[in-house]
Amino acid sequence: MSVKRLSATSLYKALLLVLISIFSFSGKLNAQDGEKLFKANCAACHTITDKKLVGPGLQGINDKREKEWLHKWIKNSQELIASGDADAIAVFEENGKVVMPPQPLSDAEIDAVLDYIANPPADQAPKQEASEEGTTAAQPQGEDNSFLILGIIIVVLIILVGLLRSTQVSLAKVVKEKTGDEEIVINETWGDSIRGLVSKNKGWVALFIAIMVILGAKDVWDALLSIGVHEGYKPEQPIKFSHKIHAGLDKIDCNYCHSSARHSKTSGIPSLNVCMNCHKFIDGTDGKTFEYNGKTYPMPEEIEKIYKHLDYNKETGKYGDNPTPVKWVKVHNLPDHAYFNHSQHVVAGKQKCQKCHGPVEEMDVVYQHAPLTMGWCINCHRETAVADKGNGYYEEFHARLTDELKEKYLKDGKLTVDEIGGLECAKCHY
Amino acid sequence: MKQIIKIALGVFILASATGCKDKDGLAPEYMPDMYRSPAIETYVDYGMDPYYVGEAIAEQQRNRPSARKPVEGTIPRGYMPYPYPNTFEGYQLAGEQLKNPLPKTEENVKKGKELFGMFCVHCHGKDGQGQGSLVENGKFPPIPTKFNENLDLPEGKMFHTITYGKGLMGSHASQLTQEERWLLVMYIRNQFMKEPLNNNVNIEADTNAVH
Repeated sequence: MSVKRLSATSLYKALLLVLISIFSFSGKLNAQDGEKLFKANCAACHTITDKKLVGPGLQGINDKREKEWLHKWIKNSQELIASGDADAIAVFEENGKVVMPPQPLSDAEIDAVLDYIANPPADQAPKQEASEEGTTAAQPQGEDNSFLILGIIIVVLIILVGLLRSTQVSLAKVVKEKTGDEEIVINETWGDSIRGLVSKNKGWVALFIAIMVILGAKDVWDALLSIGVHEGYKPEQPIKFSHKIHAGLDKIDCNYCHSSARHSKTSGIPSLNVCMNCHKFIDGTDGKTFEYNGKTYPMPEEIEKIYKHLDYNKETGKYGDNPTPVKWVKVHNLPDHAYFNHSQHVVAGKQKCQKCHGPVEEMDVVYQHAPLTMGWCINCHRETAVADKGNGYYEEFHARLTDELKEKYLKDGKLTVDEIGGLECAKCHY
Repeated sequence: MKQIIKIALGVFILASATGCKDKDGLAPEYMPDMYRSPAIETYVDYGMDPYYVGEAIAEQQRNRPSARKPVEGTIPRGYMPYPYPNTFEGYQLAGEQLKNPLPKTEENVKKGKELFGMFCVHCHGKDGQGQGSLVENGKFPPIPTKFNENLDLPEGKMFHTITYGKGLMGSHASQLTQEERWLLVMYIRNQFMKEPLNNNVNIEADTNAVH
């Protein structure tokens, strides 16, 4: 009996020992956990280098401050400041009195974070320049080559025709000498040759001329119709801003930057403070590059332009008092005699931006996708249904229609824009 | 016959000349008298016709920005200045005093949801946990604020943060009207912080903070 009990207690003891060791093991966090914790809790305001974000960069923080002080500060910085700690007050003042919120981290977790800051993994320390440097190689220049080939072919053909003509002439001379036939005509000059050819093939020549006239007339007609129609207009912009990266890859909504599209006639070109909502942080350092129009460019150069226009100092994070506007080139221009309102189409009409502007999220350089002619407007007004579902006004409107008008307008189950007066001249011209 | 050939050739050459667009793809224009607005239009180069005033003056006029700030001391119609300063004290005060003046209705939450998809989702994520596309693409550090039931954050502070920005988040006052900011706050509180909708709001409490 006593032997049994002894073995049972020793079993319990052993179990307890195992449990304790497991707990103490899991309580020890390593630098990898520190990285995760840092990214989740600290990275929004701090970096592990000396670069200042919202708060100061934390490189070498372990040497600068006592561990105990850091623990206190991280758990509740305001309490430490209130206690009259001189260092804490100094840090608070130095960083523009931005309050660091208390972090709900355990001692072990704080140690892990500090450990990560002191010894970051090797692959994060060096910058990733080497892998991206080779991509700026020369691009193939297709256009120039095709013109060269065309030129060579034309020159070769001209030489060939010349050779054939001179052979023909000399052959004719030889035949005339030998046979003495007077009827053989010798075309001494190029003009004689062509005249001879034309007089022999009058029908073909007439057909050729007729075709040329028709093609020419069509060309003239097309050219006249394209006057003032800037479809495909693709001007170079002062900053290499890629919609493909911002709207396509990063999925930023059009309305984020073009916020006045919902409120006003114009969709709005974002002022630079909107750029700075992201580019205060994304400054393109670390040798980053980006794709634009099939070529690779270094990122800092373009972002520097924003800073320069804003008179913003990246090092101090302060704005100067000499900002200049960016001279963006307007792509979509309507004549003054036509009225178009963005908010009407975006809010009430619930139209997607892409309906008129095309796949902007795939464009590096924005170009005019639609012709923006009156015929194009009218066509859309004839085809597009009014967003009348759930709109109290139209529900009432439909309920009040007489049977005859209901039959006329609602029979196809679709109320189009032209049916509510979308083709009235004065809607757009006044 | 020869005359016809000459005319045809002339037409052809003329057509190819007029059919050309310049390198950016700008089409030719013919008498664009009613195309350019004599009044100042937003984002359009303005300035008098160089034919009348000379290229130098026209160029100078074209270089003046057409997007302008409002005249100093004026405010837009329907707008009330925001009384809390962009300081820690202002943040605390807004948290204590500022209340959402809009009625908390399903309809308003729906509007807020639409705005959230436009202005917040690329950083804060669809579910408000900070997993937006910019964070997932590694462009932006993870967002520290995770909206949930346990988050102790008064609505006034949220409004203050959208207005001035906080930490890495910039000010969104230029993109969102005050009403839109309240709609967003309402959506986030209802959807992620599980605050029930309550229509019994004392509307006169803070009407002057809206619009």
